[in-house]
Parts: sequence; structure tokens; C-alpha cells
Amino acid sequence: MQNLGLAISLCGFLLEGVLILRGARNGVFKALPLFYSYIIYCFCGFLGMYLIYWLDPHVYSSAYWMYYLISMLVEFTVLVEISDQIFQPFPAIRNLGRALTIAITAVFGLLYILPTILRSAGNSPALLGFTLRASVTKAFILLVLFYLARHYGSPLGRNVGGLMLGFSIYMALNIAMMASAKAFGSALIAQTLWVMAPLASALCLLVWTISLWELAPMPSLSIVSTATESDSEIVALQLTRFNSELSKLLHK
Amino acid sequence: MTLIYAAIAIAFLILVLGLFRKTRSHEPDECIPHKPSAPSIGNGRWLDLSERIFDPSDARWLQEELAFPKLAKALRIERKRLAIRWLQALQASFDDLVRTPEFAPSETPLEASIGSWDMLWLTIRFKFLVSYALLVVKLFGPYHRLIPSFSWVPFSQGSEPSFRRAALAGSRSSH
Repeated sequence: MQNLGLAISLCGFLLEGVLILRGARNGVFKALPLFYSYIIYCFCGFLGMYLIYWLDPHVYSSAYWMYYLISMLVEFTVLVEISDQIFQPFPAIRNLGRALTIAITAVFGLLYILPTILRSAGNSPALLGFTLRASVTKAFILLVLFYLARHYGSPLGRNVGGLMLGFSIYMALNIAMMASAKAFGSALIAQTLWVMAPLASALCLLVWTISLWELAPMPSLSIVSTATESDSEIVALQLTRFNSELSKLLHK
Repeated sequence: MTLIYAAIAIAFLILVLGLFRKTRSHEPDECIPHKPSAPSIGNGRWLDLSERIFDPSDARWLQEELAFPKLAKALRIERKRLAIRWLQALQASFDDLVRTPEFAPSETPLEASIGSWDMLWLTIRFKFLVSYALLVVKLFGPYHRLIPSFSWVPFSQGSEPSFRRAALAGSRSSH
């Protein structure tokens, strides 16, 4: 089981390397800076973990969980990147995705994630609860972003679409895995995590590698109802006019 | 509990795949909502129309001076319908503006970033106010005074001149 997990982890590591190399060559690296900083973090984290594993196996377990917990938080950068990319063409709502991601994370963090950490008896249930609920939060953010992309007619290019799809698969597998571990105890997680965690990660990385192989420009924005070229300042002025007209009406 | 989370995971994947397929494959026409054509905010006649729709003097004149309460009531109902349509048209026009893409991003990233947050605030503010106005008009009619002015929000006064200045500076530099 451990050897299989190790083999899958190595595949994931190789995919990360390929992603970084391809990204640097074809220019996707510049287009998605937050996402690639996450990939570099994972790449370095993997190397660091295996160094610890070979040099001091006794420390490995605690180091791994520490790395895993930090990774749970760092994964939010992928969501921020996705949200930035979705609304990039629309000046009026360019930061909507980022604002929503931050707001949902804050609300879920306070009302949904924090209580499970505080109420759990022992480290293991707290860790599992945190991981599970953080994954549910990310899945919820992804759903909201998918819905908004559709609502505003944002053309999901191959790159951003792939990012979202890969991350969704990873999140769904994470939720299923952590929920099972919570229900059937940590014995199950000790057996299956060796395979399931790297498998979820490798599947996600495979989708990302395929979708980010080439820098794909955004599909034509002519599908948007009033697709006219506009300046940010003009849009800002128009927004102000809309608001002042409505305010005038409300003042009456 | 596990079953719930398993259902969440499966439902999430199905939803995502469904949304992904639809978002990737939708035809251009699908995106254009079938709604009445939204007038432009620059259309003065259309804006003047709101003065008339939300002005209670006609209904008051019918009821108090001419003593036609039934006619006044009919006028109020008609004005309510018109007010709702006017607000919906304003909302549609605003949505068109929000969906307007920008092909050439601004070359000043810092300013653009500050402007983006301001614009987002204006967008959210408008959406909130127009929804509230619609709700009040639907519930109480167009002559109700329960709509808050939000004049206490400092941003509403400060933002306009700064945007105007930015727009003027932009237009000057382009000439």
C-alpha cells in the first residue's frame, strides 16, 4: 500500500515539475502567478518531506501533518487565482470573485471550521474536522464561482476551465476521503491515506497539466450581450451615474 | 453524517461537471437574456420619465381636488406597474454595463486596482439599492417614503468627483 502511494506521489511530483517547466516556457506562468506559486510550494514541499523521510523518519509524521495543514490554507490561493481570472474581462466586477472568496472563507471559517477545531476532543478529530470542513468551504466557493461565471457569461477558457475542473475533482475526493476517515476512525485513514491522498492530488495535477499545456487565450467575448470595447474610467463614470440617478430617486 | 458528506461530494462533482459543460458549450444566443431593450443611462427623456412615475401629485390631484378616488386608485396601480418596469429596465441597463468587457487592460496597475474595488462597491451598492427599491415599490407602491437615502455612506459623496476627475484626466490625455 505504501509503495503504491509512493509511486503515485512520485507521479504527482513529476507532473508538478512538468507543469512548472511548461508554464515557464509557454507563458502560462506569467498569466497565472498565484497558481504557479502554489505549484512551486507543492513541489518544494514534496522535496522537503522526502528529505525529512530519509534523514529522520521519526519526525516525518508530525512534519507531514504540519505541511498538510499549511497546504490546506495555501490551496485558497488557487481559488483566488481562479476568481481573479473569471472576472478579469469585466472592469466593473473585476474584484467580485476575490471579494466573494474572502467573504465566504471568513464566514465559513468563523461559523463552520472554527467550532469543529474548538469542540473536538483530541488532535486527530480536530485535524480531520478541519480538513473536511476546509474542503467543503473550498467546494462551496468553487460552486459559487462556477455559477457566477455562467451568470455573467464569463468565457471560461481552456486554462481557467481546467483549473476549476481539476480542483473540483480534488475537492470532491478530499471530502469523501475525510468524511470516511471521520466515520470509520483513524485506522482507515492510516491504511488508505497512503494511496487516496496522492491519487486525488495526481488526478488533479493531470487535469491541470493537460489544460495548461498551452496558453489558451480567452474565447471571444462577442458572446456577451453588449460586447463593446470600453475603458475602465468610462465604466466607472457610468456606474457612478447609475448610482447617483438611483440615489436621487431614493432621496425623494 | 458520512452519508451526508458523501452525498455532498457526489452532488458537488455532478453540479460542477454540469456547470462546466454548460459554460463551455453555450451558444452566443443563450447568453443574451430575452428581456425588453434596456435604455441608456444617458437618455434624458427616459430619466425624466421617472420624475413623472414617482410623482404623487397627479394621483393626489385626482383624489383630493377632482374627487375621483376610483380613478386615483387606478392611476396608482398603473404607476406602480410603470415604476416596477422602470426600475427593472434600469437594472437591465446596469447589468449590460457590468457585462461590458474590457479588451485592453489599464496600464496603471495600482490605480486600476484601487479603481476596481471602488467599482465593485458601486456595483454592489446599486444592486442592493435597486433590489430594495423594487421590493418597496412592489409592497407599498411608488409613492412610499420608506426608501432610505443612504446619504450617511461617506463613499457615495466622495466617489463621484474622483471618478469624474479620473475620467476627465483620461479624456484629456487621449486628445
